[in-house]
Amino acid sequence: MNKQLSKKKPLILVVEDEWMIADSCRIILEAEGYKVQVASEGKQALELLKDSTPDLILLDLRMPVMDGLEFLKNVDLPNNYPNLPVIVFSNYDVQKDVDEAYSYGATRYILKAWASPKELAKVVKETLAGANS
Amino acid sequence: MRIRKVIGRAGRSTIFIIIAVTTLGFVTTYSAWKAAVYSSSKNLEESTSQRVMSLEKILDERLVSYEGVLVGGAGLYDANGGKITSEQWRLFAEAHKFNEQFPAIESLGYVEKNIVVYAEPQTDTTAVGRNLQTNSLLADVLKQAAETGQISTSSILDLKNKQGKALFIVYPLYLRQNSSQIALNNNVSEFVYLEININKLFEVVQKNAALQNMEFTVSEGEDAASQQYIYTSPGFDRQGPGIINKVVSINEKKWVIHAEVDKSSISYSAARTEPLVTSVVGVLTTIILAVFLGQTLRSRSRHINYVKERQLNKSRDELLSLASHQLRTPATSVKHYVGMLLQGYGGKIDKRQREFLNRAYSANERQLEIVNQILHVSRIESGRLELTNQTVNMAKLVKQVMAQNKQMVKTRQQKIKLEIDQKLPAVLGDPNYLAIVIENLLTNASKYTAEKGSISVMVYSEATNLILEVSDTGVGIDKKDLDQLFKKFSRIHNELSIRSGGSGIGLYLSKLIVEMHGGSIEAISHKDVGTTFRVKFPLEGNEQI
Repeated sequence: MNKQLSKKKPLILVVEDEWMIADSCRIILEAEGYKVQVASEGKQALELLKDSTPDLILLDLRMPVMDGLEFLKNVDLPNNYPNLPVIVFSNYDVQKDVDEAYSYGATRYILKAWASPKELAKVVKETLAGANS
Repeated sequence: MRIRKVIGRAGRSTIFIIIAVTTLGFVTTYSAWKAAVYSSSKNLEESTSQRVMSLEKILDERLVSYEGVLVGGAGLYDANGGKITSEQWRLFAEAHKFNEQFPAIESLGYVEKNIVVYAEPQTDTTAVGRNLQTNSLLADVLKQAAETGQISTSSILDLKNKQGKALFIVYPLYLRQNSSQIALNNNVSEFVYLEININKLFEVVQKNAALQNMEFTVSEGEDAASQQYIYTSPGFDRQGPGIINKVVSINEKKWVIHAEVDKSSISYSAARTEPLVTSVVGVLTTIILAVFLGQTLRSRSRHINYVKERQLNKSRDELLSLASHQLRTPATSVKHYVGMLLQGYGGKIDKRQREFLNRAYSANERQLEIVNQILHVSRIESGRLELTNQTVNMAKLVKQVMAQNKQMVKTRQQKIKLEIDQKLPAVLGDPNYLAIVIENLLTNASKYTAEKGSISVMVYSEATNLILEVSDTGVGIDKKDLDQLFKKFSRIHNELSIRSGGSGIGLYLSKLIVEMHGGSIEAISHKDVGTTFRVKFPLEGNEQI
C-alpha cells in the first residue's frame, strides 16, 4: 500500500524507556506531522504492534523487561514486517550491538546524542522516503 | 640503593623464603662437608692402617728370617761344643752374608755360665761386652728364654757404642745331656743371641715396595701418646697432616706405629678435595637455588601484580565506558529540549533568549564531545578499538570535515584556505577516526586563532607519506609547553583557551589515532605567530604494521 497516496499521517512507534527523551521525540515528530505511539520497553511495544502496524519504529536498545535486541528477535522483521523500517536509536555505540541489530533487520543505527531535533526529523523523513520507494 | 630497589620489589615474604632456603642450603652444605671430611678421613685412616698392617707383617717376616740366623748360630755353637772362636763367628757371618742379607745385625754372640755373665759382640772383633749384672733388660730376656725354652725378644735398649736402639733376640741352649727336654730351670745357662740395630732393621723394612713413601715413628709399649720413639723414619714430619697410631705386636712385644697419612695416596688428596668440592658445590647450588627461587617468586609476584593491574584497568575502563554512555542520556534530553526551544516549539523567543539558549546548546555539544573523546581514548587504551581500514581519499575526507565544521569558522569570521595536491595517493585507514583527527585540528586552529584570523589546510604527498598540515595565525605555543602538548589532560593556559574551553584530550586522542594508523604528528609553533600541526600518514602499501 502506498502511504503517500493515502494521505494518512504516518504512524511512528517510539520505543524508549527514558520518558524525557520519549516525550521530546514525540513532540518533535508530532510537530513534523506524524502520529506517535510510545512504548517504554519491548514487551509493551509488542503489545502495541498487535493492534496496529506503524510505518516506522524508533527503537532504543537498553531498556528494562525486554530490551531492543530482544524485541527485534521477537518481532522477526524479515518474516512479519518486511517493509517496516526500524531506526535503532541508542547512546551505546558498541559495534557488537550494531551488528546484531542489523542482523535482525534494522534499517539504520543512529547515536541518540548526535541527533538534534532537526537531525532527528531529517533522519525519520529520509528513512520513510526510502521505505516507500 | 639498587639493593633496596630490588628488595623493595621483592616483598617481605619473598625475602624471608629466600633467607630460609639459603640458610637451609648452607646448613645442608655444612653437614655434607662435615660428612665428607669424616668419611674421607676415615678412608685415609683405613688406607694408612692397611699400610701399618703391611709394615707389621714385613717386620715380622724380617725378624723371622733373622731368627733363622740365630738358630744357625746356635747350631754352630752347639756343634763346637759350646766354644766358638771369633774367627769362626766371623766366617759364619761371612757365609751368611750378614752385610747384604742381614744388615741390621749389630752383634751375634753367646752368653754362657749362669745368667749373670756377659754378652759378647762378635761381628765386631773388639770385644766390648755388656755386663748383664748392670743390664736388667738383658737379664730379663735371658730369664724369659730360660723359663720358656723359646726364642725370646728383649725390650728395647740402647746400643752400646753408638746412638740408637737395639733389641736382643735370644736363643736358649741346653746342656748336651738335656737337649731333648724342655728345661725350665737352671739347667739352661747358655744362650746365643742376636743384637739387632733397630734403625737398620727399619731401614731394611722400609726398602720394601709396599711401604713406599711411608713415614712413621715407632714407640715401645701400647701408649699411643708416647713420644719416646725408638725409630723415626727420615722423612717423618711431626707437624704433618695426620698421624694414625696403631699398636702392633712383634714377637709378643707391643709397639706403637705412629704412621703419617700417605700424602701420595688417593685417599689423602680425596680427603683434601672431597670436602672442598662438597662445600663449593653446596654453596654454589644454594646460591643458584636462592637466585632461581628469588627470580621465580619475583616474576610470580610481578605476574600477579600485572594480572591485578590489568583487572583494575579493565574495571576502570568498564566503569568509564558505562559512565560515559550513561552521561549521554541526560545530555540528549538537554539537546532535544534546548533545540526544541530554539526551533520555537515553546513559543517565540527573543534575541536574548536565543543567545542564552545557543550558549546552552553549544555547552551541551561540548559536553557530548568530551564524552565521545573519553570513550575513544578509553577504547584505544584498553585495546578495544578496532579500526575498519579502507582506502581513504584524504582530499575528499578533509573537504567533508571542513564542510561539517564551517559554522564555527564562519562565526569567528576566520578565513580558511585549502590546498590539496592534484594527484594525491591514497591512505589506508578508518575514515571515521581520521575524521576525528582532522576535526580536532581544525577546531583547535579556529579556537586558538583570533577572530578574523586565518587558517590554512594543506594536503600533499612526500616520498612514502601523505602530509596533512593545519596552520593557524593564532597565539602560538610556548616552547616549554610543546612537550606537554600531546599528553592527556594537558591544557595550555592562555587568553583564548579560557574562553574556548576544551577537554585536554583532543590532541592526545588525535595522537593515538594517528599512531594507530602508523603515522606521526608534531607541532611547530612560535608564540604570537601561529602553530602548524603536521600529520604524516604512510601511503597505502607503505604501512608498517
